[in-house]
Amino acid sequence: MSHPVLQGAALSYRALFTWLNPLGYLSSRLIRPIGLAVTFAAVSSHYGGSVARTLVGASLLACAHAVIYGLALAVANERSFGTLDLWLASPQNTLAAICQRGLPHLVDGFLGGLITYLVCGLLYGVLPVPLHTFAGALILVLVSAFGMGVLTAGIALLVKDVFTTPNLAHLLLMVFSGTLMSTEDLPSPLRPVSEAFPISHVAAYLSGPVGRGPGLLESAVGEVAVGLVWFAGGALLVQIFLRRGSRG
Amino acid sequence: MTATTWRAAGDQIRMQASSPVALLAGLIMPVVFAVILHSYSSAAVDPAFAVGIAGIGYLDALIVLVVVSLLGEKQWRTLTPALAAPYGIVPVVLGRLAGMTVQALVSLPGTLLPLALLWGLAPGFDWLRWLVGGAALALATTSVVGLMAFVVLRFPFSPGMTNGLVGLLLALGSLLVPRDALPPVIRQLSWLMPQSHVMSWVRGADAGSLAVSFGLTAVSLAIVVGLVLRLQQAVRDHAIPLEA
Repeated sequence: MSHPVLQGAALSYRALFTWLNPLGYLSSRLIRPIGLAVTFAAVSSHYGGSVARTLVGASLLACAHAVIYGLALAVANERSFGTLDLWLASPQNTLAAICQRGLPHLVDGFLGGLITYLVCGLLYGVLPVPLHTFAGALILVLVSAFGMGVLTAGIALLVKDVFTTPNLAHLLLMVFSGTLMSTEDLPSPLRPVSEAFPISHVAAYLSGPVGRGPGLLESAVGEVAVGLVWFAGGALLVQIFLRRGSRG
Repeated sequence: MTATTWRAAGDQIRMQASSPVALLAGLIMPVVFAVILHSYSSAAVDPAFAVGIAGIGYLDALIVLVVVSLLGEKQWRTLTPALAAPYGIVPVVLGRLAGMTVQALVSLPGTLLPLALLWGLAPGFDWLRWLVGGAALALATTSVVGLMAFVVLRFPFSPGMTNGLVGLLLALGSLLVPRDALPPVIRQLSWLMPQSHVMSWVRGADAGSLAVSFGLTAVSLAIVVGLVLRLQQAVRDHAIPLEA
């Protein structure tokens, strides 16, 4: 922890991640995703769908949720604590600082997704994909969710409400990522849109029949590309809002 | 005591009726859940679908309203004068919860309208089960979330502490699927939840399920009143601070 980048990341995590208290962490990062995973797995089982696919999807969603909310809180809480102006006025690259603040949430997201997957596996007595495959999928989701998180953090520079943007991002992911519902069930004009959302490529790989769905390399490249596009959008927003802010 | 309860209910509605967060929680989020649920069932909207989705709205809205309203009471220190009054804070808390129930009920017609527009109502839609089930589910949800009201009043608020309740109560309340579809551990726990019995009745079970739900709702409300009375006694006896 002696490296300045890691020190800064740890400090921001302690200061700005307001859910870092026993009840808040347990409730937000473990109970909520597990409850949602159980509910949608039950829905899937009741209607003859694939429980395995839903468990994997809901666990990946838990990972993305942690990263996106964490990054949004890392900026929005500067405003809540009245320190946003001071932070922006400091001689620090804002985009780099946002990325630095995201580092602990990457670890958090990985652990949250993994715990959700293991607990649900225990409840349903099945681990749909091997643990190392799921861990690989989580790492790809971290990349794409980080991109979307930077965008929500950028919007938090402008929007005063802390939770509107990450909530909206989460709701969109629930519908478009292919985790809780198949993208085949979306209206046909919206199906291509789903490919622009984090998790969608990984979810398609894990839920598709071997040899008929997208390949591993194709899915991994797709997921990373989605992350880069969202990251570029976020970086652009940050620059626009900073310029707008500096003009007063 | 009754007058105070009515006034607290009125205050709740007057102060929070147009809360954007509560409206978002009570109307938008349930419709997103409905889109996902419909992707599995692909059927027209029946009372179980409509009431279950409204139940998600109740949960979301009530949790937000309990936190916002009761934390507000603590921060403004308006409960301190109530503690000095003969009936104490119980009528205020019950009135607040009653007002929140009325507010949450907006989800019942508020979610049915978009669902009906999107997928149409099932032939022979049972309006009685929808209305009675919807009202009973709102009461049941309030009685359970009322326990959280005690926690918010008694303990310092930890940010994020209520985030998991929606996921947890959604599963335990069997709002989207019958209890049989839940994993065994959750299924057994869900029997204790009044919501799951209301949903059984809405899904076609006999009136006994509704009676059990009312019984569990009454027990839950009695526990809430008991806990708040105990808290009030402790505050009066030991001067426990009620700061946020």
